Amino acid sequence: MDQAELRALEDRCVQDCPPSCTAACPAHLDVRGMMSAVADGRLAEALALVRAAVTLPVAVALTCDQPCRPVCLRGEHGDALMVRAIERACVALPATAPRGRRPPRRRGSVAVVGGGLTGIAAAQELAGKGCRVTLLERTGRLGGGVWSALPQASGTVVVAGAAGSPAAAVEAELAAAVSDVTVSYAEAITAGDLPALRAAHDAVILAFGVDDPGCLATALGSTGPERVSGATEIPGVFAGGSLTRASSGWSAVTSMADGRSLAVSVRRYLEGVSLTAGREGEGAGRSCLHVERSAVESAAAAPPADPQAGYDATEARREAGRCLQCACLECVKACVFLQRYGSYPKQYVRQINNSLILSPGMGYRASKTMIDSCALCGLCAAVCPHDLNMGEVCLDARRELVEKGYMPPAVHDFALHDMAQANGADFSCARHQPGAAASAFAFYPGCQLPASRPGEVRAAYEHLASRLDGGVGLLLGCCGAPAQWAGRESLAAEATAQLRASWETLGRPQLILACPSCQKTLMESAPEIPAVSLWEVLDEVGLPSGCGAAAVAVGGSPVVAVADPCAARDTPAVRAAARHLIARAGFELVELPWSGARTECCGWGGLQVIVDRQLTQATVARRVAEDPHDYVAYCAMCRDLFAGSGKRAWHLVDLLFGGPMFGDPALPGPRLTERQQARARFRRDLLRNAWGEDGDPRAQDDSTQLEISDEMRQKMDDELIGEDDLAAVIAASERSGRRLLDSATGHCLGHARRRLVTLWVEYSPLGQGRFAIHDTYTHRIEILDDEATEGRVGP
Amino acid sequence: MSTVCAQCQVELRQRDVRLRYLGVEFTVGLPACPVCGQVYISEEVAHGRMREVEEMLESK
Repeated sequence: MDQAELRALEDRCVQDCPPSCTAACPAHLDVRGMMSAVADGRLAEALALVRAAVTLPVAVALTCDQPCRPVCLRGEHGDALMVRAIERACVALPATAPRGRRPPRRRGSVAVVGGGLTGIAAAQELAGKGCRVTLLERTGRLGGGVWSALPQASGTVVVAGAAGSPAAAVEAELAAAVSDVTVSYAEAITAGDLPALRAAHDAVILAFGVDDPGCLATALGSTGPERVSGATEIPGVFAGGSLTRASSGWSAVTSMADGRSLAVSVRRYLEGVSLTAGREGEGAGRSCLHVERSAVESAAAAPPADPQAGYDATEARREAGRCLQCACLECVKACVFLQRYGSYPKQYVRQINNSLILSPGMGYRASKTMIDSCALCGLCAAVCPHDLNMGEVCLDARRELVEKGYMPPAVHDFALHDMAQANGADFSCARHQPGAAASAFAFYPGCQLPASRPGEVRAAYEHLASRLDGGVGLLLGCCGAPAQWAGRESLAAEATAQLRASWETLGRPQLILACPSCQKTLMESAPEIPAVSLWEVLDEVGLPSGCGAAAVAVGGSPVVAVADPCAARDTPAVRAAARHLIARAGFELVELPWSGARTECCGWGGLQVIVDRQLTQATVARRVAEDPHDYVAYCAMCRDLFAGSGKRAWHLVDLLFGGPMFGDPALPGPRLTERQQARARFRRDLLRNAWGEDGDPRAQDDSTQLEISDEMRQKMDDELIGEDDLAAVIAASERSGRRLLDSATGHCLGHARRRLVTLWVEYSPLGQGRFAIHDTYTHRIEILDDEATEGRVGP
Repeated sequence: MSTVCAQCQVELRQRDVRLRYLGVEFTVGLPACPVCGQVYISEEVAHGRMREVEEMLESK
């Protein structure tokens, strides 16, 4: 990805955009941060935020016209926040230590014409940066428009811990602001005085407000000052403040912000750098932040008990607590994976690309788990206002890591091996319907459902064969989704090619798919193969006569919640058919909060469960907590992961192909490491019973029997060690005699290289080909000069 | 675990063992049979030091 693409991708995430209050504030005050700090009782931090944005905080806190309030989103649900009153509570805090030492004097003398808030703010900023500043004010009193904007009431205000009149408080602030500035109460400067003034200083700022007795405005030329920098046609002369905003009325915060902006222009001018570069975002604007507000409850503003005194700390805290703390984070709220890394996609996109572009090696270490553990389910894009899909970002990153050789082969090895088995002799096959010579259709149940629900899959096949004309063939194999998810494009293409070849062998039938991931994968990788979901076909051809037994067995018309798989996010027809079938099977249906196009992945997607088991557990825990009813899934992995967490979950086939065979919603499915054997058994049994084939004698020749405790089976599953792996290592160890012996327990310890890991097995022979398993573990590192591992065992 | 080589019936002794991961070869002292050379890597070592090295090499 080049820098432009990266930037375009990052820009789709709006979480970094300032909220509407900050965008509308000419000074870009962090109102949200201020409210958060006040609500937490951290008033000093809030004051620091005010001071960072506002040069004359007392004057602004007393007279601000609050352009933030009309756009405050809280205003849609109650009253807009009382921002000025909160600022006032902040500036009431006792004064902190005096400012540090003065900055060193630097080159530059600046004349500022006009002692209103614009002129004073500009003068103070420039003096603070070491310029020699002369402020020229014709009226004899600093402050300009602030005096007519001050509250007319004569009450007292507390500023910096001391009570006094508002006028005195502003007077004191203005006096302090010009403590490093030479103030000259001169006659009005006229247009004719300007050349001499300019000659006497390195730069001049014109901030004389709306009254212009000296006709200075004529010096600004016909087009007025430049919009961003305030530069006039005369080099070194800048103009801004109310004189350029006469039509919009006086605003304390605008005047002050104009002064700061003019100070920036003068500094840039004195330093000889661009006056405008990088300043596009200055001044008031509109926010692009997306804020979901459908669940916001109304809350009215709480005015201070004593309006004269304003909020005390407790009242301010309560009022600030009404702030919505505007943020987007729609995807982060929806996704456990995105929550895990404590940030949001704009940052994640940058981190991932840094790891790929800048320092692939070390960067990969930092973000490898992030890249590899996304479920690639697309929920983030479904909820994002700009369709940013972190799944696509992570998948692209995986492909790039694979292509460059940076992806450690062991990361996805288990899943790829599982896929190879499903496309190998143990499972893969293509048959016409028994007794038929052609197939108008072919049932393709996927590689997981036959392992989870062999009886129901067989019943579904037989039902299809009895209801459809033209022959219903059987196709077994894996669609290639695991290779896709692992970023192994060539492996995925091989799987697609194998499926396409089998499909052609059967005469190009229409495929009937029971797995939503197969459907999604084939739509992308083999769009020429006509395919339809099992659910749509069943909805059309009708249900078997025994359908409904499951509902009867659990009593009455039970209520279930339908759990859409992430792979059905973009196939509304499939989701609708599943719902029809659930209702036709006698169940009442409720919707989960996250369903349909906004459904969640169970954690199998993207091979998350292989890479980060704990993350999948958290994902599943969140999913199963959404509703107390039994779930009905129509993805085998969703069903089995839910049930594995203790949630009662049916697969849709259980409801439809009931009778004594229907699956128990409380029982977990086969473990990841038991699926290969389960799907091989399905194939063997089905081919023997329906086609009369004896099958591969090799499969029945496995005489090694292992005794494994449940605890050990769980450990094996966590470490992705299969029973066949253990049997292979024990067989090799027994055959060669090369093993270790624990003289205390009498246990044998054998090891062998198995695919991409070295597998150790602690066992005891029980005689007649039986062995007790005591422990097992793996490491990826290979032992070189060790005869026991030199001959590899198995694949 | 007092481990002996089942084939040679002798106690294991520390020796330098060559290991390899992701194309990188390195040598580590591990218990092994002094007669036939069979190596022993405990679960503690496999999930401790070995895993650290694996993660380090995977991030290179």
